[in-house]
Amino acid sequence: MNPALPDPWKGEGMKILLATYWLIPHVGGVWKYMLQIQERLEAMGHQVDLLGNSPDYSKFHIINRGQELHKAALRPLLSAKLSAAHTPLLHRDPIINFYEEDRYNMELSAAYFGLGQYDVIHTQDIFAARALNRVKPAHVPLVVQVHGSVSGELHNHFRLNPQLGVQEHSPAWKYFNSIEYYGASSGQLTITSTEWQKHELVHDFGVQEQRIEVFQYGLNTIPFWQSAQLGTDVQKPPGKKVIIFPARLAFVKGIDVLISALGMLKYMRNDWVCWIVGEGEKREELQQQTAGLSLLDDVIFMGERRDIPALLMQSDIFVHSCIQDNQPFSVMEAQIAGLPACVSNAGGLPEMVEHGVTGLISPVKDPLTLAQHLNMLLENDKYRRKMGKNAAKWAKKHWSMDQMIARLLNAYERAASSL
Amino acid sequence: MPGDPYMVIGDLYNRIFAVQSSHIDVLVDYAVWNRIFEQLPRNYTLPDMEVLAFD
Repeated sequence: MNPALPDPWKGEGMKILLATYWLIPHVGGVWKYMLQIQERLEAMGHQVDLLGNSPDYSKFHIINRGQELHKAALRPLLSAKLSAAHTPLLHRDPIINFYEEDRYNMELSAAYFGLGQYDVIHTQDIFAARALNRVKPAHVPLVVQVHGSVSGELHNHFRLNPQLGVQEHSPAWKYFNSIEYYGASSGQLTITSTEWQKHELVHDFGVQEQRIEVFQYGLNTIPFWQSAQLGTDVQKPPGKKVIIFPARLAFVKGIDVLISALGMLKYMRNDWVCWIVGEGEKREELQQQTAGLSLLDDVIFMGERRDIPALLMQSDIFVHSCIQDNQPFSVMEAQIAGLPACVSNAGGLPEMVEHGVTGLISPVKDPLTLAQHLNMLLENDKYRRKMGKNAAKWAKKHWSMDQMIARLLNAYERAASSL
Repeated sequence: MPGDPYMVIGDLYNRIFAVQSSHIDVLVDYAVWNRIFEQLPRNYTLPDMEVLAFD
């Protein structure tokens, strides 16, 4: 063990930096994950700082300490020294320029805040990983966690928007492969929560297999049950079962697949309603699709809500028909609530749901199979309830926060030992 | 005036840039940039050529 690192098992508190390139605070899963880790580690006597971009992108900040550095203090010099004339590679595409320059802002901000004070740094994305690896002192271990595939999402975006003119041979396309590799290869150890993510990092991006460790997320169930007990002002319609899909209204979540499936389900039965909980850029398009299928009385867009645990408790079936996802918290919460899950086979979802035991898995973008699965669960109350009970048992065993924190501390120690 | 940043020529920090160029008109906050400069590893350079050299 690195003598510089206090031993958490002997009650010595470590100073830990959790860092993300993305915005903090934020409604997304990464922020929720960081807060959960912070709470648990601080309860164990460690000190945890949270570094990230500010919600308006104007600065990087260590939010819990009120420390900040405005990008305006860095930008004039960076713009002059990194102009197109001096650094043409940086200016091959505006998207490369945007992400790289903002990452350099993060590097300089992190140096300004001082990384030598930490016993371990734990980054939450590839940009933060590469950034902090470049500026941290050599004696500070870095653990890199990969929650999703930035390049996968961006490549999807390029495919769906051909007017952008970005194809596989384009610099912008290749850039995301490069940053994914260098980000995920930073520091001493890489953590992912699914074998799917590990496979992608190794086979698609060339990250060394032996440096990657897989362990599942945990979920603190106390706030979940507290929120569930507060209840909701939403009432389940009499005589109907509720199909719920809590998600950001974005392409990658595949909500259009569920709506298509519901269009078919309506021909099979009408003893259901669907609650779509979330906001996003696809709202108008999804509402148009709903109207086009004459589902306006059956599908309710509820917007962003804080009472999701209570809504889950009123629901009968959970759906996550996404195009790509790693290990979404929404599936974990649905399982804790004892709901059977109808999910797609995208990303890490098949590692979360056992087909026929805790839920039903359909191929990505296959609304017909999803409709048949929903029909099967609505038809057979006993089968549906049994699956829900199995899901709750699975959740209790697999989504233990204590287990995840123990594995994380172990990862910190091993990263320190390998320096 | 107390509290006003002490501005210096940004060229003082040329060491961290891969291409050394002069911009005597660009002034930066000494307190901010000096603190950054002291904390950066000796081999730190901008831009990050490893990531950018993907062809």
